[in-house]
Amino acid sequence: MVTKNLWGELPDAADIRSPVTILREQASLLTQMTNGTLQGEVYLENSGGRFSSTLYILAPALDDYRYSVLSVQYPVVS
Amino acid sequence: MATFLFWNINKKPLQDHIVALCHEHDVDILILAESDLPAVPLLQALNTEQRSTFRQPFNLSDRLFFLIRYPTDWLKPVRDDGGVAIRHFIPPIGPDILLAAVHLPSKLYGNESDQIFEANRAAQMVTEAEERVGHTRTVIVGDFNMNPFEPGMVGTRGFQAVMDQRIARRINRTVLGKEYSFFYNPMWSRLGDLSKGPPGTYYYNSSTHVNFFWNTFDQVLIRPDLLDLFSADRFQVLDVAGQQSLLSSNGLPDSSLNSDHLPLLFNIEIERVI
Repeated sequence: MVTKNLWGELPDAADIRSPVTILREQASLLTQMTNGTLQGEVYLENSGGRFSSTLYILAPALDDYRYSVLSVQYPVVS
Repeated sequence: MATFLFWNINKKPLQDHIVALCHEHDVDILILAESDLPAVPLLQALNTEQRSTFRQPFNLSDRLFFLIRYPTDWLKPVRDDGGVAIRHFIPPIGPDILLAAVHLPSKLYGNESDQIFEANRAAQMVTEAEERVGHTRTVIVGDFNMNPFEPGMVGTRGFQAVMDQRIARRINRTVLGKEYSFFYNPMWSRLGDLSKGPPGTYYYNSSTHVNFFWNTFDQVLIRPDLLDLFSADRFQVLDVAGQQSLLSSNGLPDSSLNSDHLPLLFNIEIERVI
């Protein structure tokens, strides 16, 4: 028996770049470009159905001081 | 004794008032929110004819401004995230302290859910900083844009800031299997006209059905581990700077000449444990 697809047409996941994905790419680039002198970090938080992705610059030489570059907040899209 | 002054100056040119307050109250750590004041003239004014000098520590926050009357390496940056600036205060003698300054989002730009979310985020940042430094000798001061009784201030995932030191000294409580740590909030004792000092720190007369008129958005929160060093007697909401009242003739913050917020002054008696 063939299982019926109840999901409908879904977009190709490979075409989807979430905000956290974009930020992680930039975090990684920062680390590479500065040879680890500065490191990029992304924190993902969620509370009450709201997500927050924050891109930090981490400075190991300053005892891991963290500076927030930007934060993106978005709800779960229904 | 370390004396702290916090003031949201609402982008007003209040250098003279700031200098008067710092000199009158022997302030050691000055924290400003909504300040456009250039640092150099302020430092020059603060340090004129003074025995000890203010310095500007490393600070990347564009929302909170620090000046300290200590060597700058006593105040190390831990984290800057929007309206949250966390610093590690490390005197050579006495206990080190975690100092967080906040300027959380205003009700003008968000609803209660937004403020709860931001309070939860800020509280989590403080917890992470405490884990990094290995202690909970923490004080948070700033413009929370919430009153002491609002959910972001009292909720477990927010600051869980209580009005009774005896409750705060229980350290934490468990809700649905998870432990949450307390802060003590002395601002509860500063609500209303029968309290010491002005009835609040910010006055706003709205046209809505619920109108508190006086709000206490500017607050200081203390972890129980620091309570023995917090001087309740010296804690003040200030309404005078030098000879100048910060209130108008009707007893409200004179926002035409001064800030629409009143400053907070408090002490941490670091030398008490020496």
